[in-house]
Amino acid sequence: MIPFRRTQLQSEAQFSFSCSRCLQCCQHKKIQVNPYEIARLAGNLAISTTDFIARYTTENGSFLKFDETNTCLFLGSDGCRVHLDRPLVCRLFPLARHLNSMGEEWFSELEPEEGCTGRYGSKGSIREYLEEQGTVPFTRAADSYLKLLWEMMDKLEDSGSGEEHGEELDNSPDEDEVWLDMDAAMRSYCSKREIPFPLDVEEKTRIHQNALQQWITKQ
Amino acid sequence: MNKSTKKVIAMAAAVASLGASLGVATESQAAVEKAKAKVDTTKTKQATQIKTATQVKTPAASKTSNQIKWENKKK
Repeated sequence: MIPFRRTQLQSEAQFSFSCSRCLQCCQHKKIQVNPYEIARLAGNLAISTTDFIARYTTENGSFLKFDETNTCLFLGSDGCRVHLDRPLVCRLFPLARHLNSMGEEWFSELEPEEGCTGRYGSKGSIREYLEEQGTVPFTRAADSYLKLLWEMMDKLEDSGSGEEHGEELDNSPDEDEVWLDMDAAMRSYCSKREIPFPLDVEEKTRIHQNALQQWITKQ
Repeated sequence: MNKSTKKVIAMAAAVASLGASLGVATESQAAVEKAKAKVDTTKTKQATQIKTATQVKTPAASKTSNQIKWENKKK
């Protein structure tokens, strides 16, 4: 259970936070990373998302790996080594963003981290804080993936009816689930369609989401 | 393996991994393991396999994404 100071906050709610780089929030955490965030981080390190997932993530690529002292692998002596491409939850901290399938968005303010020397205030708004942190492309990507996720969840819920008599056998190899691995998914997608492999992360994300949408429709 | 069974398992697996990466709690991963285990033990019973697969569900109540640094304190 995450201790919230305030919750159900809208983006215009008063909020400010002055970080003093004590780095407490880079330890003892679980950092979720979606395909867009993995692609940004992989791009920062000039490696493929396949390599990134293998080297820096856990739980099938859904979370960043931490070291034996429970510290983020990207924390260096001068702070975050991938700061320009840091994930959304790192940008949000000490806020949390919530979004449901109705498209309703709200925020929570977390209790100060033990040992955190940052200062909470009310000089600005949550919206202004998020702009400063450069969250826009990250929330846009997360929201697009969430729409696809809700669609998949609906399909799964509906799968309980009307398919009781399927006897069709499929002898093709097991489908390899690589949707979190954008480069692997795009290599296969682009090769089959004979289209160039996109190098730009935003473009790659757009095509990746189109491919995922097509896959969902086909299921 | 029956084609519709495979599709449901593939979809549940995608929901589990993408859901976790977006801060959405789902029961899909457990459902995938359960469905696969059941399929393995009932290879000759297509109807049972289908029924098992169609039991894969994700609760609608969990359709909220929580984008947050989760706590992972020392045990």
